[in-house]
Amino acid sequence: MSDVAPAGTKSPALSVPVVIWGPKPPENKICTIRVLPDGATIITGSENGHIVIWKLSEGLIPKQLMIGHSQKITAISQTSNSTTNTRFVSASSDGRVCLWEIQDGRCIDSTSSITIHRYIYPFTYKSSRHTRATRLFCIGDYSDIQVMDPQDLTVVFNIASRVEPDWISCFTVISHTEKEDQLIGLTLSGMMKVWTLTDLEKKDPSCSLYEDESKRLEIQHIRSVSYLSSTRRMLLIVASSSWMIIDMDDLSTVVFYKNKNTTKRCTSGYLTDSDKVTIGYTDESINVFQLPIISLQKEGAEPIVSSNRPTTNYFDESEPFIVATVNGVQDNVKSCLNDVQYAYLPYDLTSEPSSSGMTEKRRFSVIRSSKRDGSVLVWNMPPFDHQFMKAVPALRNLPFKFNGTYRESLASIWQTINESEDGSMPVLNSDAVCCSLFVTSQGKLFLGRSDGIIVMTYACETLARQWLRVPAERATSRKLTGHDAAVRTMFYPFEHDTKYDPQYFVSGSDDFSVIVWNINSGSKIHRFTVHGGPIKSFLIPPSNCSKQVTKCIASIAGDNSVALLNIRDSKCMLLASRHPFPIIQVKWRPLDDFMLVKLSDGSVYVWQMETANLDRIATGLLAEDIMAACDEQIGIEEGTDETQAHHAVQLIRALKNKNMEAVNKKLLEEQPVVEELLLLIKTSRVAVELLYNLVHQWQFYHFLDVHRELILYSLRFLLLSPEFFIWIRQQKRQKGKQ
Amino acid sequence: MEGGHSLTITTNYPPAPASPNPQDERDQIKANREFENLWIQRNDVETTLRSALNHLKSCCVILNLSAKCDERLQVSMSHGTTEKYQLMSRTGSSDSLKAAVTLLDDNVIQAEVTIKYPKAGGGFFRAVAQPDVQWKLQQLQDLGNHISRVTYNGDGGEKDHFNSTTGKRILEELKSTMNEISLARNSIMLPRKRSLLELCYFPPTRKFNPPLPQDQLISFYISCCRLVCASYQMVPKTVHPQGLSVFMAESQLPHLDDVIKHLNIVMNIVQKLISYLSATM
Repeated sequence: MSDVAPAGTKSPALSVPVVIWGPKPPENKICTIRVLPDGATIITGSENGHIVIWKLSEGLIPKQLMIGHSQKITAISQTSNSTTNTRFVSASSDGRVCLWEIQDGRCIDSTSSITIHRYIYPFTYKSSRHTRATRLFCIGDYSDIQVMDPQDLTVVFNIASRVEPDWISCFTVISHTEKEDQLIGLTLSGMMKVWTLTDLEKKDPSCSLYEDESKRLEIQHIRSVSYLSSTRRMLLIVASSSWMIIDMDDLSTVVFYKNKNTTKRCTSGYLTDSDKVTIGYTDESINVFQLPIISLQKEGAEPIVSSNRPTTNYFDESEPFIVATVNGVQDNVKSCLNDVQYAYLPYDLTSEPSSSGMTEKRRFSVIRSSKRDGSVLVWNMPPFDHQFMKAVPALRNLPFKFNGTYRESLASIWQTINESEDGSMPVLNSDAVCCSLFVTSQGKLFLGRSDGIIVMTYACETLARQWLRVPAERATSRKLTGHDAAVRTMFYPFEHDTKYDPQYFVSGSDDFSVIVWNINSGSKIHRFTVHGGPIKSFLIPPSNCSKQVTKCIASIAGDNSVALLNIRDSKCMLLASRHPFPIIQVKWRPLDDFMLVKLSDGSVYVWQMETANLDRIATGLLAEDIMAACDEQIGIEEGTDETQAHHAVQLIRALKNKNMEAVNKKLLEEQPVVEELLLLIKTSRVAVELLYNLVHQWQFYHFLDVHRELILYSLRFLLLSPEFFIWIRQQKRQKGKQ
Repeated sequence: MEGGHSLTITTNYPPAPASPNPQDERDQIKANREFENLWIQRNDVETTLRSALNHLKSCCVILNLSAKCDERLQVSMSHGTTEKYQLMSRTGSSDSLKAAVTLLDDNVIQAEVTIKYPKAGGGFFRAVAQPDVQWKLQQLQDLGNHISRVTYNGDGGEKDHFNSTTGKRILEELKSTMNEISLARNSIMLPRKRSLLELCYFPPTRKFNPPLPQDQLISFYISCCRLVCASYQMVPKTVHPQGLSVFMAESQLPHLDDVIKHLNIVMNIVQKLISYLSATM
C-alpha cells in the first residue's frame, strides 16, 4: 500500500484527506484523453467519472486522481493554449461541467445543464487593441457550436448555421497569417461548414455567428479532422472506414484511402508532416502513411526543389503506403467503437531559420488511451523525413514496427508496488472484503467478505493494529456467519433515523437474502429471503409514513424488486417485483401511502404500501411530474383537507382489492377508522361501494356483528340510492329467468 | 452338519460421503455461472443484436436517416415528404390558438398561427412564418442522431471467440446502447421548451409575417410524440398571477408513434439480454 495524496498546499482552513490504497488499483476505464500544450501533462477521464493527471517526463507517472463527476467523462480540455496554463475543464454525460486547477487538484467551479459536450477546444482571439480573450468552442449532442467562457462556464454565444444545422462531429481552426481565422466543422452526415471568426467580441446570445458556406461531402461517419498550418491547403478527414485529404481551395479530393481491413475502424488521424499522415484505429493500432508526392503538388505550380524535399513518389507508388506501425490488440478480440482515444502533441524541437527559409525539425508524439486495460501509451515518433525515406532500400522493408515509447496504466503501477499486506488480522485482507460500514455511535467497523462472513471489530483498534506497531494481543473481533455468498451491502438504521431500535443491524448479500442482526450480541435475529436477485442497497422510508411502514426498511435487489421489510416483527410487508427495467430512484408519498419506483426507461410504478397493490404505472411526462410532486409532502405530519382521510381510504382500497387480511387488520385493530369512515359515508357515495363489496362477499360474518352501527348508517344511505334499486331489479330479473 | 464356525456377516458399506466443503460449493456455483454465461453469449447475443438492428433499420427508414446511419444497415436513400399538420387545442376554448405547420423530416417549412388577440382587429391575430434560416425541430434531429449513433454500436464480433472477457465487453456495449436509446426516447417524449429569453433570440420568431406583437411569443416543440404549439401572451397581473397566459395547441405525429414502438421493443430485448448476462457474471 502506498499513499497517493493529492498534491496540495497546506493551509489552516483546508483539510487534506489522506488516501490509503489496497492491492487493487482503482478502476480506470479511460474514455477521454487530452494532452496539455506544455507537452508534459496528460489528463484522462474514465467511465466512472474519475480524472487522472499524468506527468510525462522520461516516463508516465500518475500524479493526481480527481473525483468530481459521477457519470462518465465525455470531454476534457485545457482552458487556454498557452504553455503556462494550469486549468482545465471536464464535462460528463449528465451535463455537468467542472473547472479544475491542476496544481492543487481543486475544483474551482461547476455548472449543470442538459447539454452533453463531446469535444472542447480553446480559441484565443483579439478582443480589443491590447487584450486577447480566450473562449472554449464546445460541440456535443446539440446543433452547431457553443462558445463558452472558460472562467465562469457560461455560454457566451452560439456559432450557428443557416443551412442544415446539425450536431458537429469534429472541428478544427485554420489560422491564416494574412486573413481571419476560419473554423471548419464536419457533421455526422458528411456536411462541411466553414465559419470565418470575425468580430467575436461583439457576439452575444441574440447575435450568432453564421457560416460562410456549407458543402456536402459524400462521406459517412466522420470521426476526426486535422489541419497543418505549414501545408496551408491540405485538410485530413478521417471517417470510420476511410480517410482522405482535401484541397482547401476547391474542396477536391487529393488523396483517398479505404481501409483494407474491415474489422477495424479508424478513430482519429493527424497530418504529421507535409506528406505523412498518422491514423489511429479502434484496435489500438497506429499507422503512419506516406502520401504520394505527385498528387500533393499543386497543378501548374513548380515543385520546390531542395535537398530536403522529395519530388516524386517514393518507390513510384501512387497509392499511400504504410511506413510505420504500432501494433494493436489481437485480431479476434472484439473491439468496440469508443474504446480507444487518441491525442496528438506536435512537439517542436528546433526551428532554425536558414537561408532557404524555415527548416523546422518536427517530432510528433501520439498518445493513445485504451478503455480495455486503462493504459496510456506515448509514442514519440521519429521524424520520417526525406533523409529517412531515401535510406529505405525497398518497399518490402516497410512497415517498420514500433512498440511505443512509454506505456503505463494504474494496474501496471500497482504491480510494481509490492508491499505485502500482512496485517495481524488476515481476516481483513482486502482480497476478500467486499463492503464495509463504520457505525460511529458504537465505534464499530463492519467488514463484509466474499465468503459471506461479516467481521465486527472496534474501528480504532483495528486500524491501529493494521498500520501502527502495536503489541500483538488478541484482537477483539466477532464473526457473524449466516450468509452463503458475498456480502454486498450493510446498513445500520438507527444512524439514519432514531425511531429504529439501536440494536438492529441489517446486511444483504449475493445469496438474495437480508439478515437482521443484533449488533450487541452478534446474533442473527431474522433472515428474509423474499428477493430474487442480489441485494443492492437499503433505504429508509420517511418518518411521516403510517405506523406499520415506519417499522420497515426498504431493500432494493438486482432482480429489480423493492421490498418493505418490517424488521421489528420480522415480516415482509410489501414485495414490489413487477419491474421490467432496473430501478433508478425510489420516492415516497407517505400521506397517500404511496411508494414510487422510477425505472431506467422513464416509467414510474406507484405502489400502495399498506395494501401491497400496484396503484398505477405512469410513463413519460406524467411520470416526471409525479416524481417531482413527491417533494411537496416532505415534513408534513398530518393529512390536511386536500389529502384524504388516511385510514378510511386504505379500508376502501383494501375492500376493492379484496385484500381481506388488510381489511380485518384495519377494522379490528384501529378504532379511529370507524369514526372517520362514518364521516365519509355521511358525505359521499362511499357507503354504496362499501355495501356492494359486503354484499358480494357475504362471508363477512364477524364484520356484521362487530360494526352494527356502521352497517346501519350505510344501509340507510344505500336504501335511498338509485343504484340499489337498479341492483334489486337486476337480481329479480335474473331470478325470473332461472 | 456344520459346527464350530462362527458366522460373521460383514457388510461393506461404502465410505460415508464427506460433508460438503463450502469452498467447493462456491467453486461449483462459479463454474455453473460461467457455463451459463457462455451459453447465453453463444445463443442469445447474435439474435438479439440482429433483431435490434432490424428495428433500428425500420426507425431509420421512417425518419429518412440514410445519410447518417451505418452503411451495413443498407437503408436506401430516400427523401422525406412534406406533410401539413393542423394543431388544435384539446382543452379549454378551441379557438384561442390554432396552428398549421408544414414539416419536411425535421424541418419546419411553414408555420401559420391564429391567436385570439383582443388588441388586433377582429380579435384574432394571424401570422405566417417562412423562415430563411433553416428552422429545425431540434428534438426530431436529436432523435435521428441518437438512433444513427446506436446503429454504429452493435457490431456483431467474432462468433466463436466468446469467453468471460467478451461477456463483459458485450455487457458494456449493451448498456451503452440502452443508454443511447433512452436518450433517443426522451428527446421526443419529454418536452424541451425554450425559455422566454431564448425564444426572443430564436431567429424564426422574428420571421413572422406580419411580425408578432411585442407581448406575444410562439414556441413549437415536441412532447409525448405530439407537435405542440405554445403561445405566451403578457397579460396584466389581475388576469393571471404570473402576468403570462399560455395557450397550447397540439397534433399527433403518427410516424413518431411507430418509432417509439420500435425503440420500446429494442429496449425490451436488450434489457432482457442485459439481465441474463448480469445474472450470470
